[in-house]
Amino acid sequence: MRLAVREVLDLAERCFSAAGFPPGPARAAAKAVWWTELYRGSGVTTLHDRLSALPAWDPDALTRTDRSEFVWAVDGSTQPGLVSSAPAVDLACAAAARHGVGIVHTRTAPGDETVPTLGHAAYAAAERGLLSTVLATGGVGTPRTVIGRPDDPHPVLAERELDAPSAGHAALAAVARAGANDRQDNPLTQAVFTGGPETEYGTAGERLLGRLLHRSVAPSGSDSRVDPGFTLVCLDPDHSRHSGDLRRVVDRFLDGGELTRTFRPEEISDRVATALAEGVAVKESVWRDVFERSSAVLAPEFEGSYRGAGFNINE
Amino acid sequence: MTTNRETERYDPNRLRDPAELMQPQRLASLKQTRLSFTRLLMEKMIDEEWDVRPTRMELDDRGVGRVVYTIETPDRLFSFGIFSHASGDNANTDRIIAEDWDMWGFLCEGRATPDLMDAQYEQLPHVREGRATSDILIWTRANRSSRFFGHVVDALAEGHQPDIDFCARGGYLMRSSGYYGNGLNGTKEFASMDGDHPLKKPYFAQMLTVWLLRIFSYDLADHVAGARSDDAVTLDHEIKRYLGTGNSSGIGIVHYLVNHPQLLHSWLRAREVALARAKTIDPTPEEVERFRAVLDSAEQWFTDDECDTKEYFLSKDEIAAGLERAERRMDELRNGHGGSTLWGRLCEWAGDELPAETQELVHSLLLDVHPEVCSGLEESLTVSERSDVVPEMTIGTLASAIDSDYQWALAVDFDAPGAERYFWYRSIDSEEPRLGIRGEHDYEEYGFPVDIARQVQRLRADLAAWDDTDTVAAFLFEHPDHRHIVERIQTVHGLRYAEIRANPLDADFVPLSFISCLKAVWGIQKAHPKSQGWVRGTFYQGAPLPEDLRNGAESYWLYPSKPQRTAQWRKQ
Repeated sequence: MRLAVREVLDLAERCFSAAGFPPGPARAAAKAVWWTELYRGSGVTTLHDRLSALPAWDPDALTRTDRSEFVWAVDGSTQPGLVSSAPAVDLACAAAARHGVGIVHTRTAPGDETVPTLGHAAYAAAERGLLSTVLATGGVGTPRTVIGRPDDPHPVLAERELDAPSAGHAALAAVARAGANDRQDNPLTQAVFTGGPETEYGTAGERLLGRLLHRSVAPSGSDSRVDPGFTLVCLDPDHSRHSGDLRRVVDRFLDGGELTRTFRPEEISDRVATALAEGVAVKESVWRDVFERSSAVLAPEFEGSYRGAGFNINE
Repeated sequence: MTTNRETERYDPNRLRDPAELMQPQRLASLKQTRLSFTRLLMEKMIDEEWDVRPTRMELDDRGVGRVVYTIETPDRLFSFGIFSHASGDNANTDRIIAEDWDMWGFLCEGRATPDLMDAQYEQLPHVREGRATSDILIWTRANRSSRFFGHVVDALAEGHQPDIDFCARGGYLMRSSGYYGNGLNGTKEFASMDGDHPLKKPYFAQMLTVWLLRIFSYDLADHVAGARSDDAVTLDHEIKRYLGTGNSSGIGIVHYLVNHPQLLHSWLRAREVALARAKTIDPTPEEVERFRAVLDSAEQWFTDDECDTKEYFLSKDEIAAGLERAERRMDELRNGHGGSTLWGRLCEWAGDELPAETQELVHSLLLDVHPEVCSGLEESLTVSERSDVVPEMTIGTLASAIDSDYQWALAVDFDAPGAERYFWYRSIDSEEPRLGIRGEHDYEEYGFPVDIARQVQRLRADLAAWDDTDTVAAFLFEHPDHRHIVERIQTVHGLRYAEIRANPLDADFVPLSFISCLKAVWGIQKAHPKSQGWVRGTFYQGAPLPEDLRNGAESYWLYPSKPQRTAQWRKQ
């Protein structure tokens, strides 16, 4: 059977609301489900597979520690990435707007089955005009990196799956673990500076971003330690902190063949148009389960309810 | 009604103050205008000479069976498939929880083939779980009016026309209570319509369905009367023009308006811009005469309207009396001095002297006389509802936005008795919107967040504990429960007509104000409240019929004269 796009969003939002999410986080999580459906074709099934776990999900269960003025460590180790991604994106975007860079390192629950939704974090940040990189490790599937670049009418997204946590993720995790409150230099520089010669880019900002991108798709060493979770790095390409053309750096990297899949705006526009015109295909049994769970936001019948809907209606 | 006048410039700073317009009592007073969706759709149908015909009419003597209408626009074809029943008088509650209706129908792109009809026959009765297809635009359900439909059929079967005075009390033969579309139940989504789609305007698909129901109700009455008697006559064309489609709306509209602040703003802003433009016009003598003419028509219309408005609306007689005062005042206003135009002076006088409903009617009539003031505004009625948190905003900026935009919300005294009496929720029974009394009824945990003022107050209180330089992102991390209201405040900041200044939780809250407002935006002409939260009304009275569209109808059809009795009509 096929669902309208609106139905996917509404069903997901209702499922989260029924699980006790406040309206705002419920909507934010529903948007991630829809993104996963649009980009990966698995949003509804991901939601369906986790229906029994939803009551244990809690947006209030996250804690944060500031590691520098633009680096945050979020402990969401009892929660899936889907719960922590929206607040992580907010923190990273806010820091990037203010300081040019925002980094949020997030621990998530081991065995997290919502990892496919994490690309939405890169998408959401890019939608807000930022260059974004999500470095994910743990949970179902292999470690992965998703890179986002603002574009119109949709951001460009590209991803790479890895056999091991990326070197960038390992390095940023180490910085987040150690803390950088008292460091004068850029935590991002600490994480990606290699000491090697750099000839590809002329400005410090371009070199820094180039290194981040390369390290985000390079596997880490065997001695690296990365807890399950994801790190989101956001850069404001127009911030005065940065020198050079950071968008060009991302474009060149995306063209360089190091990523396994790239979602261009035209392709996504076509997918959106198709989804709007034809609906989203789901198994009826999956819809039935999600529909039943979503119905928990509706009050049960009770004796006398047929007398009216309030205000003496039909009474 | 046309004019060659250029649209005048107006001062955007002189648009009506939201502190006045967004009060529930004022919104309840709004009337349909030429920017209402019924008006815009009908104008398009007339301009493009849409061809509407029944292409399948398989009904038994009671009017039970299947009917299909086809609608041909210049480049598209639509169909309206109908399953006609005769549910009996007892079932007509108009509540969505009803198990039986006198008709179920769907508006679709292309042809309503027998296969599609068969498939939808199985699905339409299931309000929550039924499935449309992606080429179906609208699902609807309707009932025959227990008073008027039977009367009309009886009269026709006896070989004469019905009592028009009696019919005028309602103004319709069938009444619908809902139009499901834009993705609900798998219907076609508005966003999927291409730019040339003839129904790609807000509510055009719904309003076309409303009009088609009107046509079906006449054909059904003619059919049932004809089946009953060989001497039956068909319903007179004038009477058909005079009648419309009934509508029944309830408290679900409150949910809708609270949840769509961007739409509300764009719809109200368009109307206010048009009015502001109209006030800049110093009319020609011909335009003044045209205004007098529409004023007279409206006055007569309201004089003829015997609907009971209860205590919730101004009586129709009072409206008619106000219009008569305006008419009498015109000469004096024409000779008035000062910098303002005649229409500016008229509006100022109406604001001082006339009740709100009559003022709004005068505003509507001014737009009727000057259609050019609506130029370009039709496009502004379709807006994106996209919203997102602005996480980098500082707490100081957010607090400042609240203090400037939401003083009305901060001023609500939630400690006052009755300020939180109600909670709003939906029942699993067809998702009917309902109200509960806090502390007395179960299911408060199912309450919906329609309490904007209370959310704003709680947010403002929690913001006070934060430093002005902190970010919204950091705040929301600690207070995820505020995400919904923060996103709303950030999104509608600068949209002056987005928030209705009311507390729907209050014991004195009257949902009717919200319902009337949206119905005016849709374009309803006649409203008769059944209670504080339930309004019946009539669309399309006076609007062209299919044969009129084919023959080149006049574009102005409002406030039709009540048909005069003729010899063929039996005296009641």
